[in-house]
Amino acid sequence: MQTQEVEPPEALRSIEQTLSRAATDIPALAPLFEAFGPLLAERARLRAKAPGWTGPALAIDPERFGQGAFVLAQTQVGGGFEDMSAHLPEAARTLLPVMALSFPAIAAELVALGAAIESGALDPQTLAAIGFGEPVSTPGVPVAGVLEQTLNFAASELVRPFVERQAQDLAAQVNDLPWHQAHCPVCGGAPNMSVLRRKDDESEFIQAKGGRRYLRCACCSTEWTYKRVSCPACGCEEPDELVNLRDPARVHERADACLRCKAFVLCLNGSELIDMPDLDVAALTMLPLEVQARQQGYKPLAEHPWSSL
Amino acid sequence: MPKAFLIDTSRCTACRGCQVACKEWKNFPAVPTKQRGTHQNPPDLTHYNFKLVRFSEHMEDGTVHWNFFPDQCRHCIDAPCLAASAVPGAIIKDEASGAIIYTAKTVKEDFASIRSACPYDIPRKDPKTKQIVKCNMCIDRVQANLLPICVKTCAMGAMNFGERSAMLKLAAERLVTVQRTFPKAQLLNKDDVSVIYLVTDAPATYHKFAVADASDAPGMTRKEMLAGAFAPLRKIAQSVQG
Amino acid sequence: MTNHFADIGNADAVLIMGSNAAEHHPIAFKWVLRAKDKGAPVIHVDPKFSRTSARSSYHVPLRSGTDIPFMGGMIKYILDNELYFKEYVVEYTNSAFIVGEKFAFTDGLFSGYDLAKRKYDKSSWAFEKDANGTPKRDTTLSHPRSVFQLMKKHYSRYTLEEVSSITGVSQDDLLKVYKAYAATGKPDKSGTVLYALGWTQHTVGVQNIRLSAIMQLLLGNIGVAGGGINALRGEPNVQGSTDHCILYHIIPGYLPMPHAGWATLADYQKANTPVSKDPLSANWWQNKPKYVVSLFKAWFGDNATPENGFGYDMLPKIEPGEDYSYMYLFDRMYKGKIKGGFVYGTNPAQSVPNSHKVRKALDKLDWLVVGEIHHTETSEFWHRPGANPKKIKTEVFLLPSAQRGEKEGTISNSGRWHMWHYKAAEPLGQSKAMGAMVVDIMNSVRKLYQAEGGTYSDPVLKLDWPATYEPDDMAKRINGKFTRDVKIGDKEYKKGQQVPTFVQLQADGSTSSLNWLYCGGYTDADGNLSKRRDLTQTPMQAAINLFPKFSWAWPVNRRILYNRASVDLNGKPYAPAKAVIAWEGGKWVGDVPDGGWPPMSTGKGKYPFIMQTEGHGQLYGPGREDGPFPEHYEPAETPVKSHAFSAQLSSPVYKRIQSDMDVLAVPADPRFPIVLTTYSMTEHWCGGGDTRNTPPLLEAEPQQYVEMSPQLAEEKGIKNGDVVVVESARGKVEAVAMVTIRMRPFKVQGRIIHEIGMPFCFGWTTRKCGDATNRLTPSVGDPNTTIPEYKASLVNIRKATKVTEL
Repeated sequence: MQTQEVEPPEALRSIEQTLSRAATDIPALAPLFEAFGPLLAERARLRAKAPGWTGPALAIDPERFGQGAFVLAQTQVGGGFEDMSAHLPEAARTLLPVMALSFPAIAAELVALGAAIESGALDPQTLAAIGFGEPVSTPGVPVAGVLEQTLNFAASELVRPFVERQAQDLAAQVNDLPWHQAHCPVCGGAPNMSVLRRKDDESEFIQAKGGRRYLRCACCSTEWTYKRVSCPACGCEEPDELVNLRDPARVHERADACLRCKAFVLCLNGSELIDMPDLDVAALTMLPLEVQARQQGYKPLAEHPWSSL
Repeated sequence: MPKAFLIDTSRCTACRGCQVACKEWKNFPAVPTKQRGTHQNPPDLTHYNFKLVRFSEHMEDGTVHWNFFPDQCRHCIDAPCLAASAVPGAIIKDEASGAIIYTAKTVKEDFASIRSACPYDIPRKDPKTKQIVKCNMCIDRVQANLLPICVKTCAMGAMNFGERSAMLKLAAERLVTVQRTFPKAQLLNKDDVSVIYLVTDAPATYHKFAVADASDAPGMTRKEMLAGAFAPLRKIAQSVQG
Repeated sequence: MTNHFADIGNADAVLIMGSNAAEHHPIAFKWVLRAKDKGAPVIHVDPKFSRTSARSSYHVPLRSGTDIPFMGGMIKYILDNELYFKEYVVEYTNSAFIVGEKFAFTDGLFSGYDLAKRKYDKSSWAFEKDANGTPKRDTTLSHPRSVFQLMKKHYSRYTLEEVSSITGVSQDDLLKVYKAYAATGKPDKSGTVLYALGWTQHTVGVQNIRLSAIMQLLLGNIGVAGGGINALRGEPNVQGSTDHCILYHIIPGYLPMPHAGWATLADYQKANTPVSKDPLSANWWQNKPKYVVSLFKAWFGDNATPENGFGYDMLPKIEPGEDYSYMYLFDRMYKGKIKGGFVYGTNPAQSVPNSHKVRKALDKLDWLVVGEIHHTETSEFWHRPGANPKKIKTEVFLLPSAQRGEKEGTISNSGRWHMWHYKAAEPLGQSKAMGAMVVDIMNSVRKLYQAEGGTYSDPVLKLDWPATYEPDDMAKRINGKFTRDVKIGDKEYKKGQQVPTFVQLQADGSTSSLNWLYCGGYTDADGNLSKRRDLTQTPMQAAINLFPKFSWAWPVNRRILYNRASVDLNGKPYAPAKAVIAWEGGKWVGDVPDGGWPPMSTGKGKYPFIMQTEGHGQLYGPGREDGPFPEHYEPAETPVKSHAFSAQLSSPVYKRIQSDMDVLAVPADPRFPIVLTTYSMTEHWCGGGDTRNTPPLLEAEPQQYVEMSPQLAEEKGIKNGDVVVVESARGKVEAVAMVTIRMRPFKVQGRIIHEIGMPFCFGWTTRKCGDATNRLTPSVGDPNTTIPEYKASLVNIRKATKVTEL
């Protein structure tokens, strides 16, 4: 069991480094970085403190896994992440104030939400359920003075660090098994991001230079390798039908789009980068590409928290 | 944080991808060359060749040793050329990367003294612009978080680039591995330079200036001179860093 | 390749002979080192120490043209020490076959030799057959006329002393290689042989490879993972163009070229369709008529009818016994028998032997069309050094060709993988893909015939010729389709449907296919499989690096040929840790088996070597022009007067062009005492026409050079960097001396023989870079393939007193 493993401080440093580089490179997006930067940092802190998967090691059937049955689909207990609701009130105490500072427009609602959590008006189980986007028993808006949209946003951000931390442990159990699906091998979620990572080859002779393609889960941030020239939404492999949108000034960022099914996924080409940026921040810097893709009629496989802004 | 290269010559096949990529990235024209009885061409670094793969061969115990050395500026930690510079702003150090950069102001430098200050015989003069030139660590790329073009191009995994601490770690690991096959393997001037070479054979069998050692310096070798000049400073720095 | 690139990593030993793999096949070499990392010895046998040698476990220098004694010694070593894989040899090779009484081998000559014709009558080499017509076998291998005993006797002469004396390899080095490689004769071990032009470009080229096949069969290394005989073929789609018949003696899919001796299709089919009386032999080539008729249907469409032999009657036919390969073609041109011609993507004035003659031959043409990217020595022959353009009548057209990245289509790699390449950019200016040039020109010719008529226009007008060149359409035609509704077994197929595999091809005109080998690569069910990039595999496939869904391999996506030889009679893998196929639960798993028949022990099986009439791997190969067992013959130009193996100095049947310009040095010619070998180099591509026009590459390798040992240089008073003149009986070449310890003198028959090496990529159209090395090489070739002997000829060198070429 890996419950109290402290996340290496590199994650935080990487967020800060990427943010500061991005702020210099793309001043136009500074407000966005200022808004989401502290949120991402706080999320990283929470993730570092969060308990991992506390249940027993899972018995994964490699055969079923190979056919696309992801980890959580193979668990006996309820088929989901472990309940982290007990930790949510404490997490809310640090995360909601950060969010309130970052998003002044909803600050009052976040304060009200915090109060509702503290007072028990909103119980942690319901909060977790909202964070997972599950239907809740209370019809309508459960917290007075908080719009549904705000509640959903805040709840999912609260749940996310715990989910990500559990996913790290679960992914470690299937590291060596082949996985060829476009959905997440841990939770079955869709990817909202992809990345090409340089991989040092154990062979002494020739090194591949293009980097391997990884998809990244929108829900639990797990990464998995995926076939390179192909659309993760419809499987199209015809290069003539696969396009990428990019800003000539930022050559290592692009949106991989499919003419056939009109889906797109953001892609960070890390193959020739010295330092790999934090991927959440990188996705933030690619917001203009995301907007451009949507304007051209493409739809993402999954969204980022800021995608709707 | 300063950057460093690790050039693992045990993996180099002298494909010269780095040599060609360097001049392509910098938009340098090809220089006219002649065959002179070796594959090494051009014969030496030029104002249009900041990177050159040197070839050398010798026989040892009936076995051919064919050694390849992708030569370039070492971006010294305490750069003697910078110390020798007489013109402010002509030779500068980019603190972020550790790159030693020659600017347009080098036209006013005394070329002979800058070149002779270099233990690795790297600086060259552009006859047209009169500037002194050499590898600039692809500073335009590095500042954009992109690998130097020679590293990006190297298909053999001989060229590595990253944080100095990471490269020193990689160098130590590779040395252990390579020494299993080549007991003579060593790292060249690793504490003094940002471009660390791992060689498998005696350094002199690669290139006259593979290691900092100028036997023409009167009294003491340039290596000794450098060591003498800079060792106390480095010790202080190390003690400060803990 | 019988196997494929990623499979090299499965080998327990790697023997690289006649190839500079690290420099010329760097990606393939990655897998060599994968094997080496796992402990496999990597052995490089080559006259020159190259970057391949530097990366191998060890390098063994060998005099050019002595590969057969080198390997013959290995055969003797394997047999003497009983290191062969007995069960495999008995069951799967023709070791037990009895050879007929008339067969003889006397002093270097096999029975049936006709000195006047320089040809063998091969009838006396046949196997002895029983009353049913199947070859007689003695599985104890003791019959004196069994292949095994004949082979043993044949190679008993290849003693360490004699092999060492002729090859220049020390006995210690010979034993070191033999021991390391023969260790792969154990059932669960495998060794791979990698070769390239260093084996083929000899007057004994085919026999070099034959002997490696014998070695691999004895060690049980064919059909297994990490084994096989693996030709590392060139990037210019050498595999694909061979499959589609770049050579004159075949038509697509390795079907024989029609000749005038076979007047009708029936004659052709009868002469070329092998018959086996053995019910256990699949004798796959018995299907040849289906492939032939389907090919003709693809050529002539509806105009191919049973009445005209499906178009056979319209085909041009060669004269039996005539050689139309390119050395003979240029000889005919030189003799004024050819009026004009097309040259696409090749530079014969640079890369055909005896290029002085080739260049003169071009002077005799009325017209010449060259499809090229750059001006080359061929397109510019009329103003070459020493020529007077005013006196040359030839009209030359240069058609600008698209670069590789400017066109789409397939390339077949050495492992027979059919891979689609996508266009990266539009062709510059008016340049076109060569396919488009051919289609467009032929359409213009057809229009002219339609408008004006002409003598026997049928073969031109009755072709099923596309209006425009469409790579996708061509790929579909190569696979082939049904030409009418048919029912095969219980399955119905509609007219126009793609044929699923070559098993469905028919000899009645109901199917078409431009190449039966590729049938199954572009189907209605799966589309164009050359575009497939799926990496999924089973754990069994993963264990041997086999990716069945990545691209598509001919035949029928089989990745390792003859893979049923990797299992015992019960279908159990000899090497369980790296099984290629296995019989499990009543079916084969793993790779696509060589025919789906059950294991031999069921009685319903078929022998694994299905392309051989008798179904067995050929230790004894009675089909070759120069004998059923490889035998040492010196190159056509040899530095020795005699050798210990026989009185037959050079091959009795090698091809030799006769003309006033085709002069050969005499054996041990005192005027030309030095052996020359030629090769490609990393920085320049083939003849250099492309890369010499790429300035940074020319900067790195600017001029003609000749590599020689310090000992030779000292003898000749040559210093490194001196310009020297290399001279053969046919011409002179100026080159810069590269004096290097990577070349070594050979001790042959007790005396020192020097060998030098030169690249062939430098030509005069690039200013002052030197000119064609092939002005030195002779027009002699292998009797089976007529591939020229570029790898061994005789020259002399001296310091230049006057330099004009550099």
